Amino acid sequence: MSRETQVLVSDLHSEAWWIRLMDDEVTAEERVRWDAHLAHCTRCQEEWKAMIFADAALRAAPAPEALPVGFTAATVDRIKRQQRLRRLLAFVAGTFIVTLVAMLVLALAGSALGVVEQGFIAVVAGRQALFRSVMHMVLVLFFGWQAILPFVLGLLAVGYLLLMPNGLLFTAALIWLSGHRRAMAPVRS
Amino acid sequence: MEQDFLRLAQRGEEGAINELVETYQQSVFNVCYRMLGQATEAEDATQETLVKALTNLHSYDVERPFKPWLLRIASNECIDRIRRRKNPLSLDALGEDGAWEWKQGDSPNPEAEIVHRERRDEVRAALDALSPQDRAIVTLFYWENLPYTEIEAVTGLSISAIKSRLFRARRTIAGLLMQEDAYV
Ligand SMILES: [Zn+2]
Repeated sequence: MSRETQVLVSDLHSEAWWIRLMDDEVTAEERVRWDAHLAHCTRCQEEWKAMIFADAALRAAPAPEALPVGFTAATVDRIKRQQRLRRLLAFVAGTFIVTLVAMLVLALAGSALGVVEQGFIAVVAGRQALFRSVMHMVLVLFFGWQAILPFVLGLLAVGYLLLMPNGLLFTAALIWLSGHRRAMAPVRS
Repeated sequence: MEQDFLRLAQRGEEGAINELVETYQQSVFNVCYRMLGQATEAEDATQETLVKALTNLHSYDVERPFKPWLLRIASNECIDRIRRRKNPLSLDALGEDGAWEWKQGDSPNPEAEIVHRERRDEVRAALDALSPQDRAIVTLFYWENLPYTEIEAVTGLSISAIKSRLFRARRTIAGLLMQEDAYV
């Protein structure tokens, strides 16, 4: 067998060739070459017979029966119900989003108005606001003194420890001063 | 014309929905029946496909062909069902009722009916040997007569991949049918 024939045979045994053959995409020249090969290649004869048989069996396979009566109506009904449900869900979701946005806008507008109003009160009725805040503090002190008592006592104790004549800060300052004075004093003979 | 129906159906027009269902239900059913091999399940899959497609028309580009888009939904639906069937925990695997139903006495020619049934069973068994995706390709090529470009649109595979898969599927089917034939 010549080299050329070997190349030709391997080509005719390739998947690419068989695909073209099944799709009837081969040239007249190729067809002649194929027929000549098929006449003596038992492998291709068997494969070709099987492929033709399968192709014919698949094409001849009986068609499925028709759909039952009422199938269309039932399907259209389901589609309509599904579409209604989708519309309802879209409406609910839309309403929810609009409500949420409206609430947000109202809250922002409300707080902005509140700030303006407070500023207005402070300017126009400053004294009234001051009186109110003082009264507020008095009330807090009156009703909440127990809560701030430990803090006040603690503050007083720390102040006493640090600043009073026997306090830590005062003592440390005295020690530092005496030491400094000693260091500054001329060396005694 | 069809695009008008699609636009109307997108807006929920009942007449247009009815028209589209009537036009495509048999094609969808044929694909589902070939892929699933069972009339009852194929009917369910067909209805599911049409409901999914026509309630999601907003995600469909009206300028593109409708049939490949619809058959893509159908083949995905069938592939899902086949995969669920293979799951041993799935209840779907338990009932094989109505598979390729044989209605005795329906035919005026019982002998021809037996040959018809045997051939159908052979092809059915051969199809079952294929992967769900290859089954879809064979179905679309042989029974829906779709060109490669439309099979490409349905499956999302390249044309060369489709040709290769189709060839291998044919070879598998040929092997099985020849084996069956050798026993007859
Ligand atoms: Zn050969």
